[in-house]
Amino acid sequence: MSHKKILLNFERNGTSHTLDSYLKRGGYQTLAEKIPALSPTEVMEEVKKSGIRGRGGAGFPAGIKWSFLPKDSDKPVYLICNGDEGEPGTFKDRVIMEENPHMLIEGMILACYAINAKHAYIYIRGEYGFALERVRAAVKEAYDAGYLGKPLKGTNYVPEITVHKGAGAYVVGDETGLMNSIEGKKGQTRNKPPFPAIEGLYKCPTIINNVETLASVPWIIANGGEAYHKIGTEKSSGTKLLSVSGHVRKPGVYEVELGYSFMDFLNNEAGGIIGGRKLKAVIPGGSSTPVLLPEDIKDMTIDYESIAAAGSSLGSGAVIVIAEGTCMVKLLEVLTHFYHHESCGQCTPCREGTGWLHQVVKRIEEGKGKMEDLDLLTSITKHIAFHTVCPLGDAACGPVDSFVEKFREEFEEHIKQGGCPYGGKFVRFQEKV
Amino acid sequence: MKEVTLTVDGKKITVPAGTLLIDACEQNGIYIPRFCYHKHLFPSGNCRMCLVTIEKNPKPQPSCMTPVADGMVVHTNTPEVAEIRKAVLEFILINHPLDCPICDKAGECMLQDQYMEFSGDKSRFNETKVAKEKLYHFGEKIVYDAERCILCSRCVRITREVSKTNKLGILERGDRSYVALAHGDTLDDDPYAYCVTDNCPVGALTPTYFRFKERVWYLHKTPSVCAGCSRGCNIWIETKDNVIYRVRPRENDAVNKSWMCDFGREYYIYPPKNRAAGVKINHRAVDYGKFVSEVASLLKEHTKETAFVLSAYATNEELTLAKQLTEHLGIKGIFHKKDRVWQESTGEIREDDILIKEDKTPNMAGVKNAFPDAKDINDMVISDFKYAVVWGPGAPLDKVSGLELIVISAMVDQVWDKAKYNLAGRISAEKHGSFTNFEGITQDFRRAIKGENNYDELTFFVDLLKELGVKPIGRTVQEIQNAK
Repeated sequence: MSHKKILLNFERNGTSHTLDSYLKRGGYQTLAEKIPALSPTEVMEEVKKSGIRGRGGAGFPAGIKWSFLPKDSDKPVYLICNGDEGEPGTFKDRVIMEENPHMLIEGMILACYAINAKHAYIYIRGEYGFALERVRAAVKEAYDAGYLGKPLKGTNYVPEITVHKGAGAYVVGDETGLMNSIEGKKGQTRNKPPFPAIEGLYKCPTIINNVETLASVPWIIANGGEAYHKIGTEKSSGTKLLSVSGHVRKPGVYEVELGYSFMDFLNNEAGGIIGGRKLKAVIPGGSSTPVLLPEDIKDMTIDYESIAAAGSSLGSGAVIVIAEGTCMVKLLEVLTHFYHHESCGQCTPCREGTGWLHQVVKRIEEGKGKMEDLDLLTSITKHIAFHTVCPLGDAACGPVDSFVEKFREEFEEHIKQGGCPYGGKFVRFQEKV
Repeated sequence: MKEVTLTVDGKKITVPAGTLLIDACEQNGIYIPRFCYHKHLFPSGNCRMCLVTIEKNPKPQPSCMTPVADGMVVHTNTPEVAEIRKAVLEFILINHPLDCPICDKAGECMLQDQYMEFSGDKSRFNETKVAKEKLYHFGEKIVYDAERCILCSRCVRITREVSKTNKLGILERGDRSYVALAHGDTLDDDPYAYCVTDNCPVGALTPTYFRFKERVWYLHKTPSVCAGCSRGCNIWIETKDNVIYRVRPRENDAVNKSWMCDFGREYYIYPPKNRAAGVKINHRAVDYGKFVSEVASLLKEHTKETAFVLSAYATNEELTLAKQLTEHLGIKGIFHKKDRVWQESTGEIREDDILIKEDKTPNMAGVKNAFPDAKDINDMVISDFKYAVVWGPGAPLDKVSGLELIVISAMVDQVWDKAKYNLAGRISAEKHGSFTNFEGITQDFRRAIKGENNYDELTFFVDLLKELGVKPIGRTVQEIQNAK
């Protein structure tokens, strides 16, 4: 099946990130052609009509999010582009920022216009050095060319964008943590409510969207919200970038229309399982989403509803494919280590609980586990999830619960055997020559 | 003010709009356990101990961050909430050392108390605890133990919101976090530093002056009022065997909230060395009865030639009797003085917009209330007088030199040395009475320690009045207060 390309509508030839290349493929046309005839409210309406859902992980409809801004506030409004792509397995925004940054900038200009933002920020995670370089260069090009810093054609509105580099913290992917980071504070999240749309950056109304969401806006404005809504399914419209990693022949970032069959995607785009092995499990939306077994995904399609029905979540679209022969306990050990390391330490359950989870899983992997430990793990997660300030606590619990539930036998085997049946390390699978 | 009505555990309560749920519950007799929440600090919502369930809300909410709303239905006593509390306590105790037997906080530790009340379960944690710095000197005044710290951030918020020095912050991440100062910085020049130790819910921050000195349950707490300046911060003086071991602020929303400055505290902890002692005439010890009768006859004979210099350390009750005395005798030359002034050399702060006032005496307002016509001692014309009763320390020597002096003071100074008649008085920790602060708020305080080889000024005035054949307005603080 050939898919409509909205975000990756270019040839990857090493020049796609430049302004010239972007203009050649029709870039920035919405600003000249559409904006003079559209009011901010009409831009917002188009985005609402498109039904595009937040691509960062939570899947909240972007247009509705924008309409939460207070109508009668005298405070300035800010727009933030969340480029702190920290979820293990996710690397889709990186492609946009590195290869197609002008589409993101155009999308941000349109979004700024729609919500009348005083200033916009692009927050890029500290580890994305190359993306930062490309986005900075693109923002400079856009300023030089007059797309930024000058009034939009036919309006008085002047869009401004600042690129902000993060310092490397997973928890800053949460919107309020990201705002604290921009404000120069420690990257720790805030209690909600108040939600950012009411009190966000510098205590002003703030809209924060994912890179992929904002980069889709130019197409929506150029072709109309209804055209976008026609792509994909009724409730999950549009295209989605999937970053596939793990035991597949062709890992990478692919743009697919929502509603596409998951098995088809796995076998066609991703090239099937490496080394002709059998599929053992799939984490469909980044490491915090529950793991799925092969039988769960047989009839699953790639959209928010279908994956939710299968018991997991589309999340950020980070598909991690796990082949037969992988130790799930070791994998969980790696994941719990990650969450322990990234816990910001602000609130008690996550600060203390993630370390506890990691130590218990590590003990099981090393063969020193007890049968009671499995119930202990689920009991710890029960007390972390939904009791923390931010969703990091919930994220840390997702894999633990689903791994223990779906691979309980493997955990028991470790305990009975007093060691890891797979030798305690990952096997590097290779294609048979 | 607008009021809202909500239901907590099936009970309808009405509180002003904007009240936080945790306070609304507490005002209505439902205590919600907490670590990070402090009513005089901006809520932080990080300890998660105060989570409660609110109907129509899918997740348990921190009651310290949730303002009340009309029609809100809150549950604080359900098995779910009890389980959350147990879980939070279990989490906190994972990395908290169980060194209560050697911890100064034991006995007044919020973690101990709330664990006993809300959990009591055995820990299921069988792994390795995180090891951190056990002895971290935040300067000379305060010591920090990072292992005991539960990272509630109260101390950070105190330096941010109360003393406004912003000295403390939390470094690192996750269970490696710890409270720290900027490199090379100390808390010694933070005038409210000891407040972080009072409000630390566990024994992570301890004052060096009290470390390993005494178990808190042996201390006797006396409500008192700080005599360090005219703010009149409410304090607890904590004593054992007539020795002050510790001084802490006593909560009073109208005066000092939950805070007091370090100068005030050190005023009690390190008692002055130059204390006056005994009763003397011509520098020779005499019988107290003889002293009273000699002073009484002197005052009676030389009423017109006597100046009466008041003490701004005097209690309101003492001042009442002094007024009765001077009125009875007809003494006209009445003066007030500043018993203690700002001492720049000791590093003391002159005045700030937090608590510290420039007037370093506790009861100047009381003096001016009792003797509205008294003049400043600096306006005294020395040639008008031959005798002077000087009450309290700090009288300027040039204003009284050449006069025959009767000095009643708790402190030895140059004036004391020049006096013919000396009676050692008491400091406020040794007295019972009341002070009126600069805002006109009159506050009672009780005697925390016994005076040694000195005399209560109140009793002295009673005896003096009796000697003169006058019935005193009252013989005790209570009687005088009732008589007013």
